[in-house]
Amino acid sequence: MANTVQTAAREDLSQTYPSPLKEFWQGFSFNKGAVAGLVFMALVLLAAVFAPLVAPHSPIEQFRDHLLTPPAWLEGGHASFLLGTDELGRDILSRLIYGARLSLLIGLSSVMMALIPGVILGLLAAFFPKVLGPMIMRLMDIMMALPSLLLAVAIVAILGPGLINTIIAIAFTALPAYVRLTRASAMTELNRDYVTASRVAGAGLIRLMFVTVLPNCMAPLIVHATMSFSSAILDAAALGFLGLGVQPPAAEWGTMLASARDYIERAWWVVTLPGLTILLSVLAINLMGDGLRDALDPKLKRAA
Amino acid sequence: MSQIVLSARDLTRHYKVSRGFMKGHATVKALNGVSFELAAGKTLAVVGESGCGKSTLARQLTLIEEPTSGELSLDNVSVAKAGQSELKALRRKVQMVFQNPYASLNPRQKIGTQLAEPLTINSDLSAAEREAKVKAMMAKVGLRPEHFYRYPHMFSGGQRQRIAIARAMMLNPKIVVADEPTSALDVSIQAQVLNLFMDLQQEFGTAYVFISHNLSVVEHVADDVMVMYLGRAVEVGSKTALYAKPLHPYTQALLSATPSIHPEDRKTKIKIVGELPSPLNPPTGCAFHKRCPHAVERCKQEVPELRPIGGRQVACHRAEEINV
Repeated sequence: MANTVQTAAREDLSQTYPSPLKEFWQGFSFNKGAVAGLVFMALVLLAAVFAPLVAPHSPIEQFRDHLLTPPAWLEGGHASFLLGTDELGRDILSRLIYGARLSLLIGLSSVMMALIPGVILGLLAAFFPKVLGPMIMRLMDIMMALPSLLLAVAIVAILGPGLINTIIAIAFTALPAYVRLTRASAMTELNRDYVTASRVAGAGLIRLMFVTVLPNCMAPLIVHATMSFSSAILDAAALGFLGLGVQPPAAEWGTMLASARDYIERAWWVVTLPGLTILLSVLAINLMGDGLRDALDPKLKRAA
Repeated sequence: MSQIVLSARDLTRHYKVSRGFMKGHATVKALNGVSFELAAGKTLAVVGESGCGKSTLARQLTLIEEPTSGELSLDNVSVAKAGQSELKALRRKVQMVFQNPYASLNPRQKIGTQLAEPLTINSDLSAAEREAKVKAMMAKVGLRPEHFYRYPHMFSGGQRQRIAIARAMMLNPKIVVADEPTSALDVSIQAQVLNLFMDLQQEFGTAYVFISHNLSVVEHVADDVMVMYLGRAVEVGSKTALYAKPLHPYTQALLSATPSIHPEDRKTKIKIVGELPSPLNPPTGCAFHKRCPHAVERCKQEVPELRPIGGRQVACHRAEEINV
């Protein structure tokens, strides 16, 4: 009697399946590193959103009595400047918290602005290998032939300096890598029988591109997107350094890093702390990307 | 006489291949004038060694590629003359089962989604109706309802092939082209899959074009057999006639090469020497003359046409002489 009840319950369980979202979370949470990355990024994001509440000082207020104060736990440190101050006496912790706003915005939006057109162009290049494909690829080759920073500088010079134009310039220089990656993996997938089967079933171009082929090309794209997040922040810093990106005194991680390099021997914290912040964010995003890739790959999920 | 659902007349398919820098193009005559008719509910088996154009034929029949020349009619509609909307309707009527069940299912989609795809594209059914239909079809091919939510990598080869068959059957097509559907499976599973094919044929009255190089499999499923050699049909006829007394020397050699577990059925093997000639540079005259034990001077010059002999079609100049 108890036995039959048990089997009935088990059969019931096999019929009702978790929603896709829940299933995704199960796959994602299986990867502890990815969860750690997610928690860290959530904290950074919260700090960025609620910066006025979290930050102890204004990011641009200069405490002239406290130039290059070391962090609080070191000799000569000051309790009100937890992570010390920079060469103009601004609180580094506040600047890092406010800087997260701009840096995350630059990183995320430039990755998205490169990823989405890059994927579409790459798929088009793979699906039309006769005329359109070579045209797109030669164009990308030309873009790749130019040094990326030079290209970004040229674009900002044309569009004018500013945050949005910096993002556009960085996204533009990152585009060819996405196009190439997408095209290469789409080309190999296109020859597989399941694509032919979809075609025989009458699938149209859009369906073939985005429903049939694209999910199978995602793994290298996710990895590359998370990696290029960090280079986007650093590229933005380079542009800022040349006076073409985010303008001082606005706080931004890359710019902080670039402007502090003169003090690296006298005051290590001024350059180390923004660097460490970038490093940890990039690490967290890479871990998240790994988890995302694994959670989206049915083969790596435990058998449902 | 049941209705003809598929007819091909002089179907050819030539591919241009590059021979390298500054050398121009060469033409591969993968399919070189193939004609046949297939009635509803019947099975035509296409046999021949690797590279003889079997799979190319499958690609033409399933409208994946357009034939270079020749006429193809599906369900009495000429494909060449069909407009866009007619072509879309025709596509529903021909489905395909592939050789490799590991490559023919999308690894990122659940079985239920994949089986429903033909319905999503071609019908206005609601999601619930689609699911019901998919589950009914899954039951027919011997899959359990909980398989609906699983991914392809969780299945064995035989199960995958049954999923592929279910997908081909979802739209209730008139014709299913099966390109060596059992060659990637082990023998115990082969029989299971073949019987599934035959059960579904009985139920839906589907016509099969069954491509294979396994002659025992062909004997099991086929009504008619077409033997191909280098892009041409060399012998076409009913299975019983062809297996009882093959008339073309190539068919004879193929059949004699089939292993048998009954010692009394074993025939002396006719050895064919040499390789299949390159379709880039096919021999003059009869394509088989270089390997044929009965070849004479005439075979080197004249291309033999299919002609009716002994209740089937044979393309051999000397069919009567050598089969006395």
